[in-house]
Amino acid sequence: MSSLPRECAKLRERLPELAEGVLGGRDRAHLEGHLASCPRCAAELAGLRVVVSALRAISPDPLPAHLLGSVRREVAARARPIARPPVQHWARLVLASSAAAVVLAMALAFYFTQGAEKGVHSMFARQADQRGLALQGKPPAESAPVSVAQLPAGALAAPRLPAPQSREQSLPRTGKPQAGKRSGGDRVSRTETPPQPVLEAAFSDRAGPQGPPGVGAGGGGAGRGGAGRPCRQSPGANQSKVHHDKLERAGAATGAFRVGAVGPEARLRASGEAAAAKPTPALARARLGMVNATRQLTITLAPGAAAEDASLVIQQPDGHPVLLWGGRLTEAVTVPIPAGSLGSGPACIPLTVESQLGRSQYLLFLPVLSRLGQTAPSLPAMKYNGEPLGSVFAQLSALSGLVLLVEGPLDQPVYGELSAEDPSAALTRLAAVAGFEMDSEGEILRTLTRTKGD
Amino acid sequence: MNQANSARTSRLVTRARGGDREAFDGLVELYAPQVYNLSLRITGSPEEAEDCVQETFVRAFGAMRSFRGEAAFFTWLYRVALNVARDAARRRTHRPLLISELAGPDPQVPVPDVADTGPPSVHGPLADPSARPEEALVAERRRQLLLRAISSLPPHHREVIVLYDLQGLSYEQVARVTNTRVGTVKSRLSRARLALKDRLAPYLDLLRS
Repeated sequence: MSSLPRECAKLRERLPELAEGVLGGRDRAHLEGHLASCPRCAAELAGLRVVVSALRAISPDPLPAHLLGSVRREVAARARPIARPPVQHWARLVLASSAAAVVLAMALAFYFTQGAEKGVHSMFARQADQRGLALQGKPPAESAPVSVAQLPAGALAAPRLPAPQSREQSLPRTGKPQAGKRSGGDRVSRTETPPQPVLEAAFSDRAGPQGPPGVGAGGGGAGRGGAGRPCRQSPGANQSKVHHDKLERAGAATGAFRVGAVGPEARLRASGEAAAAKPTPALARARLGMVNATRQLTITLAPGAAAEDASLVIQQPDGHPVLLWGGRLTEAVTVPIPAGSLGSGPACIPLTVESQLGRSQYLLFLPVLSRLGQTAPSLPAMKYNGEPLGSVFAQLSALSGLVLLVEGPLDQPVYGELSAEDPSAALTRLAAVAGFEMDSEGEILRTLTRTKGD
Repeated sequence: MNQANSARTSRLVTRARGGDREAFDGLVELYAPQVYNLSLRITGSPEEAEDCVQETFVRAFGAMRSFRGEAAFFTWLYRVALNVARDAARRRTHRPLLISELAGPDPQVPVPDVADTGPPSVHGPLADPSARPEEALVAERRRQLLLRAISSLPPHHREVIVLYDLQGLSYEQVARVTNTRVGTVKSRLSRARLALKDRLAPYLDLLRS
């Protein structure tokens, strides 16, 4: 309606009230004066009257005959004071999908390498430090966790989500975790290794030791980034070399990827040969974590138009047309990743899906981005245990190797409710799915010891 | 709601707050139809709506003690129901859907051609059983057209249309249920109706008939 004359545009919003007959006084007189000389607005009013009248004529649907009885039975069976948000809060919170080994390997490799060497003291790393969990990539003792780089080829595969059975069964209803119980990590599976892509990772020296503006030498990584506060990124030459070496070892050990030469800009892209041979190398075979969803998606990293560009292509593996997240996915959803963003851009990619159900916004957290990048400046200040929620998701993604799709933006009421009610319960459920455990203080920990001897 | 009903509701609410499940069953009987229709219009799915009704009353019973009677019981209950239905609608948008589950061939064309609206819904009531068959068919298609157009609105617009126009709540009641100001309700309603009118523009003649 931008083509409407200014007067019409100004008065248009009052037309529905006039159509309903609730507009009175001077407003009504003014509007009627305008209508007398504006056939366009008069036609609009006539249309509105038809619509309002038709709306009022819609009769209610009858209550299904069995529903009263089933409601009574359900109330009798489940009724109790509500102490925790119901399972659905988890459901609307996160779509967690299992990611491919390459993503997990890279994410963990970065974690191991950066956690200690860059002074990254994320919430998780701090917790791990305090509890003696070897998250830093130290040489493993006999019973210590094993880092990715030390695993035999193919040992790490995509984390496998437990097959959801129902809303009631798939997730805990009340989430107070028990200290010392750390079985969640067992959810990592080694058996399902998706097709391994050949990826090339290149890391920047360009930012130099000082890093970009706003990044302190002792910066806190994604963990302490906070809303609008850049995290440590683009390591200096030495660190870049270390990362390069570590990645190379991890890549060789897992056979999942190989590391290219240090490039002019931090990026991760499909190698030329691989792209030519396989136009859409599978970066991740993801599975929707929604309780009712069983469909699998492939998330593919594809080379972009420019050499440094890349795109994520999200599609059904079998190519069946589906509607996803309320949006149409007849072929694929392509999420462009601008040049450089994989190395220095946000840890998450904002997605907007226009559909019949309206516009939905999501934040896609990728493990690789989480480790390589910084927390998106747009992430709001919603906090969990003092940690910006966006950072929590980024770290969950990085540590679990999961692709997290979070309904966003995070400062929407849904997260307000989450915070007001019980953030730890929702995160506990997320943690359970992601293979995390939360200790009695509500912190999130990941035990890596399961990787030894499993 | 008439005075007798209001007094009955009041008694039932008082007893239900004390944990009397039989009294709560009475409230279920009174309000389940409205809650069902609210849920149905917000989620767009009869199956989801049934789940929502159950969840709403389970939550409501669990929280009855916290109902202090400052607002009318039904606005409090509607608020619970709306939250439940919002959650369900959100889940529904996340769930991968088959193309066949949605009517429109293109999201940019939110309302399909009337000729494509298919047979009358098995869930919805026929407009008027006493009408001639062709009139009943047209009325049902009109109804489906409107409902689909409503379901194509953004959630906050859909909610005010459902609460105000379909459920017959006042501005103030809608404001309480949606936890917004009356002014916000009015402006949302205006925009929602304008959006609806724009979507239905090709079908105004059918609606007028």
